[in-house]
Amino acid sequence: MGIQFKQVSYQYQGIKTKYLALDNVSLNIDQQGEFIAIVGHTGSGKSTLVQHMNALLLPTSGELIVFGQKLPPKKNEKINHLRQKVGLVFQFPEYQLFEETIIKDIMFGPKNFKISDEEALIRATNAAHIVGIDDTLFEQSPFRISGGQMRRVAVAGILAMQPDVLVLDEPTRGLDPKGKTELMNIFVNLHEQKNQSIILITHDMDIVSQYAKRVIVLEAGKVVFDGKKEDLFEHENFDSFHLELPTPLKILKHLEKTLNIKYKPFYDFDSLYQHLKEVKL
Amino acid sequence: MIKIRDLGFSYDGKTETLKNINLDIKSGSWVSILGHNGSGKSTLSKCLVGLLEPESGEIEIDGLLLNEENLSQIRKKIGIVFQNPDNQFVGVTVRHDIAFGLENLCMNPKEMEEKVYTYASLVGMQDFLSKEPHQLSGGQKQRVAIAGALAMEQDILILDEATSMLDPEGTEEIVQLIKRLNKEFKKTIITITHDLSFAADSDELVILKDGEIILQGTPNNVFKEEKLLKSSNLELPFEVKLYTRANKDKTIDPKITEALWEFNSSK
Repeated sequence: MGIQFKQVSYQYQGIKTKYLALDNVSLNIDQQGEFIAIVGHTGSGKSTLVQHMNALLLPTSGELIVFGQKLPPKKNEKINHLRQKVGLVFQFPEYQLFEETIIKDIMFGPKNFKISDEEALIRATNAAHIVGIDDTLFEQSPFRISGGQMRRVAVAGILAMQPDVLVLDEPTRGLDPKGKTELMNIFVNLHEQKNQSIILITHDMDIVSQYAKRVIVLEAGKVVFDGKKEDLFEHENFDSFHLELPTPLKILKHLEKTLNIKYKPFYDFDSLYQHLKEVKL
Repeated sequence: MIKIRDLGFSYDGKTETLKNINLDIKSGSWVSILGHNGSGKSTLSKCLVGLLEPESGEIEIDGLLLNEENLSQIRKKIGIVFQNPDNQFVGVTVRHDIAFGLENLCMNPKEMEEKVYTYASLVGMQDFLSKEPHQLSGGQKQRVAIAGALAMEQDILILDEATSMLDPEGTEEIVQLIKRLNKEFKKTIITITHDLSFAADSDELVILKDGEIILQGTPNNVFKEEKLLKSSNLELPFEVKLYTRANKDKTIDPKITEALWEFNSSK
């Protein structure tokens, strides 16, 4: 199962203009165990790519298979259920909150898939607990909590649909550092405890470095790299991807240059710090 | 010069969003106000431009007390740019958007056209004057918002999380612009942010927690207080944190610590 892109292209069609946002993309995403970062400059096609994953956009050419469903679908074929399989959290999802209370807002998703109120409440409660929203907040308005909390409520609304794959478009942008870490830890837990596949778009190479296993690099609608994080940052043509190095690797390169400490990659703070303790000059 | 004395504010009359704030901001300086979500930093910026009326205390700008009587005078001195590039684009095109404030001053069209061009050029948007908002990136929209504020020719500019919705390129565009406005055009800049690496280049940092100032000083001095910063949900930039920890750690070779310092200052 999972998601397969086979030579998928997508063209935005204006009145006088055409714009090829995805150009012949082929890739395979497993149903479980993935932690993928999608990176690339503004306008490289990242958001267009993830909107294909739950059939919000349909390929204008090529074939896409989402959980066994071929896309674009045949006439009269319903594809709504794919939105439950693949949960997509948009950028700044807190702008989509609308209900009177937090718990009603989280229940909205599952209720759309013809689930009883009781079951929706159970799922919503569960999802709220996963993102660290306490029962005492349930009856409050989603507009009277902090920005970080609003973001988590919006994520809970997607989790309550119990998607098989969770896709997030820049989940941490605009949050304060603590909010960022808290949110990323929620995804790490889902990934580690339930082997849930997580796919996220980010511009932050430090997030890629610390959390991702696999990285997909887009440039002008084309996949220019798809592989392990380690292979990306050690790639001989890394410069050709026009990406920044993550901070820990920048520091390690600096230490090699100034102190001749042999470069060996470490991707997060703790492992880099440990390495520096062990280095003998 | 901005003088804030014993400023207090509450939205509901019960919880104090700002408590006893005392702060001087020198003309021509760049001050960053930081703190967790809900620490009161945006409330403070809204008090400074007279969008909110403080419950207690005083604000004085260039010797002028901020009150209803002086408000129109004060607004000629201080401008603000907000967080969301889409919410503050009021014109149909870039040209109209930059002109919006000037139109309210009933300026004659020729003079207005000149000013629009001058300030659009200053932010590098002079070739986009006829573009509509949906044709611009987030960073470009924020530059237009800044041009609109600059066109009012105030000495003080507040940027309230003006980069938090932008991608790294957009952020960098705005950071470079802020530095230029401060250094070349001698504007007093007040940035509200929770990003310490963004604030690291300003002259002074003011850290708020639950409506109170808990820390104030140059970036170098403030960065030494990792625990206090953490209590306001702020985190040192990766490389600063690494240096600070290594500097206290005897098991790490001082040569490495020195190289880390060098790395930080080269940034």
